[in-house]
Amino acid sequence: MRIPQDKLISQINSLFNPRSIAIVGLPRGLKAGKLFLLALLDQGYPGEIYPVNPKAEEIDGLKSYPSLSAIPNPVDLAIILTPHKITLPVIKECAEKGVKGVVLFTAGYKETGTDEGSNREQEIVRIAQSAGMRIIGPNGMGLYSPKTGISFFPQLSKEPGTVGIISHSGSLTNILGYVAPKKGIRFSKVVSLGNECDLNSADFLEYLGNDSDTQLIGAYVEGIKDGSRFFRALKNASFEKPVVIWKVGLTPEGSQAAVSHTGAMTGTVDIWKGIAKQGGAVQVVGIEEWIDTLMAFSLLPIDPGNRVAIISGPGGLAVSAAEACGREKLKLAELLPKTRKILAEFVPDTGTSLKNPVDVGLTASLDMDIYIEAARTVAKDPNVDIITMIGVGFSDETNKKYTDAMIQARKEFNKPFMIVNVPGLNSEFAETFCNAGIPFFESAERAMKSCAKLVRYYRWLQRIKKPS
Amino acid sequence: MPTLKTLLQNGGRNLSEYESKKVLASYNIPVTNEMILSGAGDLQEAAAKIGYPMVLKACSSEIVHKTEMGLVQTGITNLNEAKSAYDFIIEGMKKTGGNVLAQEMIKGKRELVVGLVHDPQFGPCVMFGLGGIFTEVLKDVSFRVAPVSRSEALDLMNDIRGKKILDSFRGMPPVNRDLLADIITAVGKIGLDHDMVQEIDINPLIISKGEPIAVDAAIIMKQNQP
Repeated sequence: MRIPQDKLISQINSLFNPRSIAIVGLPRGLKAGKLFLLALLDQGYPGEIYPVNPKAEEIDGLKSYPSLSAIPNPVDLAIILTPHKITLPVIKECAEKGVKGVVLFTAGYKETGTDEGSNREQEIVRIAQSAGMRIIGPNGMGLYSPKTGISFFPQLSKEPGTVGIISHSGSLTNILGYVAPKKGIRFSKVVSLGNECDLNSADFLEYLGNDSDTQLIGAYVEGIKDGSRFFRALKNASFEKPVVIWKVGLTPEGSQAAVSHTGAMTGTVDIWKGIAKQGGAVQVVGIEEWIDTLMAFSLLPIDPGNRVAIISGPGGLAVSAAEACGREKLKLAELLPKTRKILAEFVPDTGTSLKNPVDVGLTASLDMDIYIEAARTVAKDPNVDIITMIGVGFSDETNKKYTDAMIQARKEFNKPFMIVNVPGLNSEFAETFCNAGIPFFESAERAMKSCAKLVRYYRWLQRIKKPS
Repeated sequence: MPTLKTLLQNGGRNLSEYESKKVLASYNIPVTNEMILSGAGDLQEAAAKIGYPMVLKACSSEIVHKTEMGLVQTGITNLNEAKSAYDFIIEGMKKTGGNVLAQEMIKGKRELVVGLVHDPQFGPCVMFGLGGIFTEVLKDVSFRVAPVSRSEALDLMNDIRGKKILDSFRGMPPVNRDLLADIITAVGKIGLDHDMVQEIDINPLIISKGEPIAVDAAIIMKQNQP
C-alpha cells in the first residue's frame, strides 16, 4: 500500500510530536521495560504518560490503567511491551482508541521464521492499516527527539540538534546517543526501527530528507525492504543534506543463476556500491568511522575546500598525516613564501620543516606559543582551506592553553580546524574541542578520511545536482 | 516463430546476437554492420555488403559463450577463407543448430563492457567497465540503477580503476564520452522498458578510432511468462 508523501510525513510527524504516550505492559519493578518510562521522565517529556498494567494501581507515582481503553483521554503513541501472545488484542484496542502510532518493542513475529509468527504480524499490520495507525518494530526501540522530549533510553542528551538517525539496531542508537554529546553531535530525530513490519528505512529516509530540523542523516542499515523506494529516498535526501550510511549484510551472493558475463559479475556488494554512489550516500564501515564522519559533517562546513595544512610536533605523525592527505586525494596546501618567512622567525630550525607539513619540532611541546603562533600564521594564509593540528604539551595547563588558543584561532580566522590526538592529551580536551565546533580525531588518518568524505559529497552535489 | 517484439515483451527464450543487436540499434546504440547467412551461397553477397576483413560467427540463442567453442572466425580476407570458416562453424553447431552471422571486423585495442542486470531489490542496474577477455580477470566494473542520467553516466565512467583507458592513450584518440554516456543511458532504458529483460551483455564494446561500437551482444530474458 503506497502512501502519498505528504501523508507519510504528517503521520511520522505526529509520532515525533505525541501529546500523550501510553506504555502498555510497563513493569512495576526494574525490568528492561522500565527503561522506556525512565527515558521519558529523564528527558522531561511534557505530555501525559499513561502506564498500562492490570496488576498495578500506580507505577513510580503515575496512575496506572488496567487497559488502554480505560484511559479517559486520547493517546497519540503507544509503546507496547507485552509478550507477543497477548499483543493482538492490545493492537485492536489501539486502533479503536485512535492511537496514531505504535512502538512494538517485543519480538516474536515474522523474524522467527514460523508461520505462526508471520501470520501474527500480518494480522497486526492489517488492523493498523485499516485504522490508519503506523507501527515501528517489532523489536524496535522507537523514537528519540530532544526537541519534543521523547526518548527510548535514559541519559541521552536533552539538547536538540540537527542530526537525524535511522537504525536497524537499538543498541547502536544507544551507544551513539551516549558518545554523541562528547563529539559535538546533537540530534533532531532518531528512530530505532527493528524488523519493519510497517514503517521502514525508506519511509524515515524520505521523512528526514524533508525534515527542516534535520541537516544531516546517519543510518545503520541491515536489510532493505523496498529497494527502489530506498534508492529514490536516498537520492532525494542527498540532494538536500548528507546521508552517512553504514550498511551491513552485504554478501557476495545472488550471482549463481547468472547466464551472461554481466550477470556473473554481479554481487550484492557491487550493486550496493553503485547505488550508494549514485544516491550520493556517504559510505562508512564500522562504528568508529560512522561516528567520526557524523562528527566531521556536524562540525565542519559543508564545503571545507581541499587544501590542507598540517602542523605537527611529532615529525613521524606529520609525515604520516601528509601521506594520509594524499591517499584521500586531498591537497597539501602550498604555503605562501610570506607564511614560511614568518614561521622561520619563531620555529626552531633543527630538523624541522617549514614547508607543509609544518614540523614545529619537540621544542613546541615546551613552548606552546610555537604551536599557537604557527596555527595563527598558517590560518591567515589564503592558500590554506583547513588546518590539521597534531600537538601536545607536557601538562594539562599547557594543553589548556593550546586548546583555548586553537578555539580562538578557529573563530578569529573563520577557518576550519581538525585536531588530531597525541597521547598525553587528556580526553576532556577532546570534548572541549568538539563542543567548540572543532572535530577531534584519534589519528590523522581518520581525520583525513572524514574530511575527504565531506569534500567528495560536496563535489557529488555540485556535479549531479546541476543539470548538464 | 515469435517476433522480436513479442519475445521482448513476454520472454520465453534468450535473444541471439543478431536479435540482441537489432534491439540495441533500435535504441541508437552503434552496432556492427552484419547479416545472417541462409547458406554458403550468401557469402559473396555478404562480402560485397560488409567488405573484408570479415568475421563469421555462430548465431544462436542457445549459444552464449561462442568464442570458447571456437565458433567465431575472424580476419577472413577472401571467399575461400570465408567458405571454409562457414563450414567449420556449421559443423560446430550441429548439436545446437542456428545460423551463421557475417560481420564487419572492428579494429580497436580498447574493449569495454556495458551490461544490465535486473536486481530483485533495486530493479534494472547498468554495469560499465573493462571488457573483452579481462572482464572477469580484473573485475573492474561499476553499477548504477536505471534510469541513468547523463551526469550519472559520466560519473559511472570515472568510477572504474582503469578509467584512464578512456583518455587519449598510446596514440589513440580519447573515447567519445558523450556517445558512451548515451549507450549507458540507453541500456538502462531497455531494462526499464522491458520488464522481462533479465540481463544484457554488450561485450566487447570496442573503441574504434575513439567511437564505441557493440561487437558482441546478448540479451537474456526471464524464462517464465509473467
